Amino acid sequence: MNEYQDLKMIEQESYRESMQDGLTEVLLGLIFLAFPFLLFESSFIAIFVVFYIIFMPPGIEAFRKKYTYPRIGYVKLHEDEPPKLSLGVAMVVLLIFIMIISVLYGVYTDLIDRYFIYRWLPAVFGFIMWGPSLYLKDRTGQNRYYLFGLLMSVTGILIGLADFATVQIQGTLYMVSWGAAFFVLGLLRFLIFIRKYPILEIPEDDMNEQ
Amino acid sequence: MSSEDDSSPIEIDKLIHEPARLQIMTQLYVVEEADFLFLMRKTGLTWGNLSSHMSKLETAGYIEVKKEFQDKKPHTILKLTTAGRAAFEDYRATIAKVFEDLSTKI
Repeated sequence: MNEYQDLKMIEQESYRESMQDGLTEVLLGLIFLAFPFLLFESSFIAIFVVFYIIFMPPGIEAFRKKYTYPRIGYVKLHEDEPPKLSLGVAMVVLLIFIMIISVLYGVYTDLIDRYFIYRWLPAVFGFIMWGPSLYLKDRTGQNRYYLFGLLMSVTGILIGLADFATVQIQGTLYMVSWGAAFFVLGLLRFLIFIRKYPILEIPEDDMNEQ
Repeated sequence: MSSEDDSSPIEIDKLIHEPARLQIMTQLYVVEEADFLFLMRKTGLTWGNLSSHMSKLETAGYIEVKKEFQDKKPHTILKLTTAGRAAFEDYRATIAKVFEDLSTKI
């Protein structure tokens, strides 16, 4: 094992420490629970969902300041550098853009059956979740995060193969099920966390002397 | 047998070389910033020890100490400075060279 790997392992350990309060899972769960409104409700509710998604992360951070940091301390990890704009990256972005435009054009001109899109949306979403899955594997060094992408892809395909009264139910069921699962998992992790780590009192006099 | 470079004494940054300070520097190197409590837990140092080492590193200009109040309680955040990051990288390179030299001599 070389020195670079040792530092990487220390960084991964710090990342795992900062994630052990379960609040990331709670946040992910709440976003998934809100997603069906955004995707399938073209009503006024969708605007509130957007606000909800935007303001939830600062809300979670405020919660962490009160409940997490007094227990295990505060750590801010290095931000990932955005990928440099190379010709390859530009081509991939252009390809994705063309694909999205083509699908939207196909749907609105009835070349593509919109119900077909709705049906396979969970599967597509499941495959997209391989991105966060691989990212988390890299940041934490834990192989179990592969399971996250795998399970979300497999359930996405299975739900696409199943027959429901309406296709909207498929997407809603997928998002709500995963949202509830993440929310409950996060809540359980949070309860274990607050039991495991009591609030540590800061010797204020020492602090003031520094 | 040995070149001029080999015979020149290797200069190790003694400020970083001390185990407790090395731990602090390593922890801060892999993150953006961390508070006192986090570092206490990760290094296993007592409050007084950590505070003393923190002062030495701050005086050397290796770390930046930010003090704020959170819920009316003092909160100290530590961060490696650019000089501290460079010093740590130099230290790593020096130690790597020491071991490299040792392995060629054995």
